[in-house]
Amino acid sequence: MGYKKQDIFVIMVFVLAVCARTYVALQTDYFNDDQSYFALRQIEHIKEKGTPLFKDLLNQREYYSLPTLYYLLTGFSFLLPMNIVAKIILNILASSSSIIIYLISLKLTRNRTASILSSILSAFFPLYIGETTNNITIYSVAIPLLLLSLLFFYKIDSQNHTPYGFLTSLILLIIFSQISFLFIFGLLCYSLLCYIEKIRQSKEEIEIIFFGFFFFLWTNFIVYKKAFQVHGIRMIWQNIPSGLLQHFFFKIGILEALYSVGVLPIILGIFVVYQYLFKKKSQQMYVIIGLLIGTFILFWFRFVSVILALIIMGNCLIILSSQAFKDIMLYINKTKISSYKNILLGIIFTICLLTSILPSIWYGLSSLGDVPNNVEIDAYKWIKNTTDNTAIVLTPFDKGILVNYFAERPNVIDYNFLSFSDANLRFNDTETMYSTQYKISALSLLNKYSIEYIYLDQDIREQYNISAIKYIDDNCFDQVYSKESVKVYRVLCKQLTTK
Amino acid sequence: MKLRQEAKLIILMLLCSSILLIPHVVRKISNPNPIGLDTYYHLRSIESFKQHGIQREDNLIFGSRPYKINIIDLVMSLMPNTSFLVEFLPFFLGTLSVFLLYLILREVEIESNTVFSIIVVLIASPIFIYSFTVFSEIPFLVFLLFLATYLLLKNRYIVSTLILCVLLILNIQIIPFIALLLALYYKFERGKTNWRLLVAAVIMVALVVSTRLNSVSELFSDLSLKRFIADFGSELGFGIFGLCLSSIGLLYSWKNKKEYYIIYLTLLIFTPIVLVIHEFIIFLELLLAYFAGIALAKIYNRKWGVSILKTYSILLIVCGLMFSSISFIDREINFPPYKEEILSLNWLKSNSTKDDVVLSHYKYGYLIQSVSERSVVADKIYFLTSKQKTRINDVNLIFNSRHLEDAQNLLNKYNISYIWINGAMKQGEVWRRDDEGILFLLSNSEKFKRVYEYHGVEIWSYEK
Repeated sequence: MGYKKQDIFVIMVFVLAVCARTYVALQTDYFNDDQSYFALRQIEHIKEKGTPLFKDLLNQREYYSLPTLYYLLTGFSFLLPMNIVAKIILNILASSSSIIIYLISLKLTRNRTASILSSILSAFFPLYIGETTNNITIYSVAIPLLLLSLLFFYKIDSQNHTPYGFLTSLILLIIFSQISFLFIFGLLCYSLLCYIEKIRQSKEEIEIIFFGFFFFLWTNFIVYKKAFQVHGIRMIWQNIPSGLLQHFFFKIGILEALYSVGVLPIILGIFVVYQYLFKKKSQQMYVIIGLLIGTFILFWFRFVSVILALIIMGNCLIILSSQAFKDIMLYINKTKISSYKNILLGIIFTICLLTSILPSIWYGLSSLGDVPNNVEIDAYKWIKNTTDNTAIVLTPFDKGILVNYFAERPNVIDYNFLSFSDANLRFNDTETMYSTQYKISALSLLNKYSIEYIYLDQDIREQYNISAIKYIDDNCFDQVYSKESVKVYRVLCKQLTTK
Repeated sequence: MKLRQEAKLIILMLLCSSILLIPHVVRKISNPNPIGLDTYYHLRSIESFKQHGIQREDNLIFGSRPYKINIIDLVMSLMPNTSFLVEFLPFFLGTLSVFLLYLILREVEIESNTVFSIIVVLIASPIFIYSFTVFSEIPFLVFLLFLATYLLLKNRYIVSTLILCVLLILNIQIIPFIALLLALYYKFERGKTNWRLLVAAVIMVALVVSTRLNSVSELFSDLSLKRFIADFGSELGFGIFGLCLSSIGLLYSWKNKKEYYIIYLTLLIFTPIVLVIHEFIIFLELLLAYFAGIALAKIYNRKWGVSILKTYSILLIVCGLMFSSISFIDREINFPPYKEEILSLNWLKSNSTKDDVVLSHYKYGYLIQSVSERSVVADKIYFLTSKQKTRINDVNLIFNSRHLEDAQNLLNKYNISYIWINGAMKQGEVWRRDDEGILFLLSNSEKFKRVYEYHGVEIWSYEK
């Protein structure tokens, strides 16, 4: 299929998405979550030393992660300022998923109009926008790579051509992110579906899935070897403390799913899944359905977080909904209302606007509420300018990296749970140190972790449902910083140690 | 390029020798002590036979117990230079075992590439590496079993029977494996299944398992992957790539399940005994290596649709197998005991009396008995053979106690004079915090005095 005028719409959608994202991202100088600041630390370390921050001298810990994203961003940062790289380049990469979804839908449906609608839904996928607009996150690169791998998977043919496109995208996906496991598991589910439906898979497909599986296994065991030895099978759950598992793997309600993915993709996508599982047969559809089912299974057994599961399944449903669009338009063409086709398209577009585009904008703008405010940043900077280099600062896990980045001080716990052999214990102890009313047990824990400063802001008060830290008194604590809702306390009392 | 049979055999022997030698050679650079805590059980046993002959009572355990005579240790005590032999023999027997396995597989007419693949997978497995680098009964059992099998295939029944009898004398618990071996041989020779042998094997497995456990539920008490997968931290576990290959091999073989069902049954029968006697996992590994080798050979011989993928896939698999081995060897080089632990126990030997009893984790029982020649409260034999495990429970109570009187009652019960603590015990094996359990009492009570400290190893004396 050659290029047509309609393809220009796709480019326009892409440009519109980039502009919208960039507009939102540039509303603030900061990022939404601490993972972005961890990425910044990694990038700074690579610029300085040439290697990622595997052994962190600040926190005295080792980190386990695939560093490819950090190298990519470091490369860009030599050409452009880091802010531009993080806020614009990443948004361009994230938005490219709309073009890829258009191409996949086109391959499946051979209908440009239906594919353009999918592209719009993808460009304005509310949850994906909320997670990637103002964050330095692997999802911005990994999701487009996963979709690209899917696109190239469709191009594998049986004419003995080496599928370089698919191999390249798959290898890139594997070296960029552990999301590759979702893709490979999805392909395995696809193989199972073909087996059940007695569809013969091509040799090339089987060989590629086989190669992909082993390459994934090999890469991840090399990178995470030590983490596997320390944490064993818990490594698969990222050693997340049991108290936080609910936070990452919560069961989502239908309404919330509808809002975060979009009404049209969910309804139409599920309808297509039903059609092709129970009524029709299509090997091409089974690839997407396999990925959808695989992701759902992994989510159900808590191997992937709800956010990631919704993003992947949402993209699958968006692709599948293109088939539904095509079927709807074909049906309309056969009926008496075919002359009103354009009005109906307009109605569909309006529904898209109301259920995908507007929620995306809302998601994007509301995500800015998670950005650390100037008052908090000032407190971290005060800590940096006033305290000893080695002074450990107590914060909950979601602010640990902010302490490292802004205050340049060690933390007690952060989201890199794989770095701790006692993540569960640290998480619980942090909760105790904030919420207990007993000074002795608090001091015992503060001394155990050699904490010198306690940071308290409004988020922490809400998180632990406290108005203040109850055990703080003048004998053992000194309020060294106070501005609006942010306070910093210095720990004065050291309990006698047993040595 | 097709390799001749002899060339393949030489490659396998060289590979095996290198893999088994590397841990010893590299470890010697920084730690002259043999690998593995269990080695010290044998060292002590050999030394005891040399000095005192066959003893009735083992006095190096509190309250003494009948001496468990190990035939291999007894024979070793008659040889010179036992400290060298303890490290050399597993390597030597491993290499010979690989040679015998090669001959056996060729004898049963398995295709040459498959034989090569099976043995490569086996040699690269962490279980094989551990079993043939750490001194124990296992190298002898495996070697003799292979020898008996080969002689059986060569119709040397009398010699083979004699060897099987020797095997039974060395370790009666190997009897189910002998029954299964005979069943496999019967199937190979006659083409039929000898169900009586299989039933006998099942009964023997049940007997062995029942002697070790209080209840069936204990069989499933520790099925953690950390216990069985070397890449997840197990000392004696499967490599993940080998396991994946074995799974693929099992899937391939399912197409001809009628030919393989006896091996499937053997796998099933092996599993419970391996859950109870973890060291016998090498026999399970032999079977899984067989399937893994089938998978590897099939992948190599298959006509690929995308030829470049064939090369890269095989390269990946080989790299993956090597990765498991290298990763395991890297860990094994740093297995206990450590120099500072040996130093501390030598100090204890010189600065205590023969009647003193030492308290520590049962895992270090053999080490303390062997190096410092002092009695311990519990060791691994006690842990494995005692059903009630009273001493283990008492030791745990002492370790977790913060109440001086309670701790003293137990310390006096076992007449303990010294407490030996190493770094691993303080870093999660027993305690996680500096003031946890008895560590608090040690630092705060006058009843305890730290008499030795070096590089994380501490010895505390206890005054009754």
